[in-house]
Amino acid sequence: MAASVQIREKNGAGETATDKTSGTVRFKNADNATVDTSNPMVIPVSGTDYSFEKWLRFNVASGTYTEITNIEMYSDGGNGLGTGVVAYAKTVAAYATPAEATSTTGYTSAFSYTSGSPLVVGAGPYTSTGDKGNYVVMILTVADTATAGVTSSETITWAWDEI
Amino acid sequence: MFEISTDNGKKIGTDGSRTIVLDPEGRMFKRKAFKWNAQEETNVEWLVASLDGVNVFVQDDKIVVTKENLKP
Repeated sequence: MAASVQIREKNGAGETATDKTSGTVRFKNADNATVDTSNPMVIPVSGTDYSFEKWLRFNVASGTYTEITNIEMYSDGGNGLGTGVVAYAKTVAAYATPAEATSTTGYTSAFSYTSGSPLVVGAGPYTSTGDKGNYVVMILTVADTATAGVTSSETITWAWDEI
Repeated sequence: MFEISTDNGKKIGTDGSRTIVLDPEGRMFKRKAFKWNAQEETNVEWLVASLDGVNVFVQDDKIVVTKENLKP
């Protein structure tokens, strides 16, 4: 038997959890997990449009296992989202209601996190079910230099060791 | 899906068709990952056996023996 792991998006003051393991995380100008075209990111006339924060959490939903260690998140190292569009990430220990970001202070470009230099989410060892490690908070920025339309997709990897 | 067990102290990892047996002082674990993009989500599972700084990674039909710490 193995651990059944989910990546959950957390929204609202009540920290409502939505399983995004096989889903899409839509960066937008609202705090919800809905994948739609409401509240879209826009290309500003000048400056930068900041998304609302996306609060993500590694969760062991069920199953049995001995221990989980080395929870990490990383990218392929290249920003394929296009000119003027950047995703940022950081870890946070305690939850706060997702808000619209106003700067990238405290964040690091998600594309600087690679398999060789990952964002460490939690070292563990973890031995039970429930949320594990820190929250990963991500934002997307759209600068006035961006091009309208759908961006190329990017791959984000969540990795961990399990016994 | 790999399963890890022990037998007389030795660590045994198997998916039913391939089996790796590791000395007791070694470490054996599964390295797992979700890889997200807009089109799909891919699950990855490697079996990893480590002994004296040498790692053996097993995925599908590939076995890699290295001192590097490989990631999916």
